[in-house]
Amino acid sequence: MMVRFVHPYLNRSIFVLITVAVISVVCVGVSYMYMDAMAQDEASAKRAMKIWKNKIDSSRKNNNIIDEYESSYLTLVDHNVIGPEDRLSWYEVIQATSESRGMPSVKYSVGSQSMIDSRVVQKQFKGVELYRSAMSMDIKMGHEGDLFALLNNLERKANGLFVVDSCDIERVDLKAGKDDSRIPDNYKAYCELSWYTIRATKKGKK
Amino acid sequence: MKRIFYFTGHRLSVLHWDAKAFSGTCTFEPDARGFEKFERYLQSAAKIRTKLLVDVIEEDFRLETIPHVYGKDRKAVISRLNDRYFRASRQFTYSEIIGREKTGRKDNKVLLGAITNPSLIQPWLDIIEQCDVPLSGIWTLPLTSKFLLPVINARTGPVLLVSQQVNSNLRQTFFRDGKMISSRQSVINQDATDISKIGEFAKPEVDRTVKFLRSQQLISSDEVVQVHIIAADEQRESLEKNFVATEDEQITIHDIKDVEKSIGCNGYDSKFCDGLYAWLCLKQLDAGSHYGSEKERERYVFSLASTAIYAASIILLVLALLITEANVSDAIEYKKSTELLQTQEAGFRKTYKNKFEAYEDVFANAAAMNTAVDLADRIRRHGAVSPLDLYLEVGKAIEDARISGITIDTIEWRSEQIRMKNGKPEVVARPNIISGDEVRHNAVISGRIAISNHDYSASVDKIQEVIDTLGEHERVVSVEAIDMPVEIRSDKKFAAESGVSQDSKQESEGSFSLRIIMSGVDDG
Repeated sequence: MMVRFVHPYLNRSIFVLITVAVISVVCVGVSYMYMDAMAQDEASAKRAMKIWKNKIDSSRKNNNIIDEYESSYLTLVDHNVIGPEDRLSWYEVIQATSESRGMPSVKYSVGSQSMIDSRVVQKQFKGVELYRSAMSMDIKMGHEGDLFALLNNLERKANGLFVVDSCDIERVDLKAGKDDSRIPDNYKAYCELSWYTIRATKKGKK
Repeated sequence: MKRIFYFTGHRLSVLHWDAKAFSGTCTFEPDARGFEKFERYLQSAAKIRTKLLVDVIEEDFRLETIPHVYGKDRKAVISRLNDRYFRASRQFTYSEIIGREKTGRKDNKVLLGAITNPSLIQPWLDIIEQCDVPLSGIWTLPLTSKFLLPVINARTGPVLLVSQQVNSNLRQTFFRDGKMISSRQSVINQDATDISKIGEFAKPEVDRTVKFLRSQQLISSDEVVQVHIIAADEQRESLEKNFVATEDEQITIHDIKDVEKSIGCNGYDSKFCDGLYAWLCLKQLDAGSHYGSEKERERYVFSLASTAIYAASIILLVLALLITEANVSDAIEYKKSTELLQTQEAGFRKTYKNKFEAYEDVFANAAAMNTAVDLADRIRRHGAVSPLDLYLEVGKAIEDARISGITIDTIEWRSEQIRMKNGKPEVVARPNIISGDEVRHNAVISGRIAISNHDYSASVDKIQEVIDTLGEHERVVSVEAIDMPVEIRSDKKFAAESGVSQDSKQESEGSFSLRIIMSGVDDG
């Protein structure tokens, strides 16, 4: 139909143009598809190479971490900071210290262990869970140094990691116990402590 | 190859140029045999675009004035003039505005031209049409000759250009300031074999023409007309003998060979100017043709369009090839890169299997190990902020300052944390063990100081000494007196008893309370 509207003088040139246009479109299209296929192959190969490279980098990094932290980690495991808590060692240290220093009274209580909100912990420390056991101590003592000796012994000898949250120390009226033959309880103290234990999350544990 | 049809009013010649040199000519007589030969020639030759240059005696030029109008109005006026003067030559007419009158209405001066006997040229045009040859235009020699004026240095003033294209004719064209005004071709009775006596034949014709131009006031009486004669070398002597410069005429004789050389026309060996004008016409743009209707040029226009389409096809093909080549090159580069990456991947895979695969389970715990150690370290740093730390630092400071007579009754110790909120520090009563924010001591120490009832100044000085001593400690952030043994601050209440009935020697113990804020241990 189109040829009817075109001057005969132009028929040949228009035919050539259309043929060239078709050949051009085919050539460009096929070459583009070929290039695209090759580009995709290259992208796949790049991804595969990166996966293995990252695995090696990650392994090297983990190896370095293990070299650096293994000793500290095992010490924490030995001291029950990582893993189950060792309450018995706490009681034994309190008992031994109060007896050795002749403290008139050391009342203590430990609450049940609870997990600290994992969302808060996971924000900064991924792969671990943190547990807390609250301890309160009501102490009567002859000298304020007894309290500090007790806290010191707990830190050095008991298995675990604790933080003193609060502590009130008060000198009591000496006149009340003047005639008593027992060791005078010059001071009383009430302290609250938190014992912390770390465990790997189920996901992170292997 | 370039080609031009040259029509002298009798026979038609075809002149060929190859690159810049003349390559040949063929001539066709205006009879049945000549027309047949011309047709055969056109059918066998390439269908290239060709100009037709005419130099006929049956061509007339008129100088007219028309009102100074534009566009369609001007066209209509000129069309009426052509109808009036050249009714039989409708498609072979030419018009050009060559200037304006200097006085009166300042009308336009228009040059009209026409082939007055088109039947001479028509048979040739019919054959060209039949043979599908794209005719790019019909040019007339007198109008084409104006392109020669710059070459012979005759751009200004009244110029009469005299030349011979064939043995029996003399062409005289008059120009003023480079614009053609009039032209006439006259027949001369020159011997075909001896052209050296041209001066004798040309002189009377030129004199007649100049006389006519002066009578028509195309040259004013006091003007000197420049006569430029283009002639062969063998004609020079005769011309110099017959044409002598006068007060009214200035004569310049140009050698055909010199002029041909000036315009780059090489190889055409002729005693006349036909080849020179043909070459001059060939060099002009196709759009400037003088005669012929749109119909005659139609084939030429389509020929141009066809050429443009072929050119577009070539450009398209070249572009497609370039893009294809670029795509294939890119694809080859990608392929090479893929092979290299696959080699690298195989290397990494081998390294991993040999060195690390066996320890995958161990490595899985590395991150948790690192985190657990860091967390334990942070808890330990928080734990370092304890009442024992405060007690030791405060006791040492007081002991170093040798302050005596102070008894401490109670210590209320808490830890607190400084947290940044909206860029401002905020104190949090219960520290967050996870946070890395600073943890510090907040303790209220209450006690007594031995003072005399009559020596308030001494007790104030003593407690101030304690405050100053603690305040100078590097880790103490602030020391605030909550209660003083003797309250002298305006915003506090204070009550005491004073009088002679009181024992002046008696000493009492003034109680005080201090709030101490102390930073934690800086572990660097």
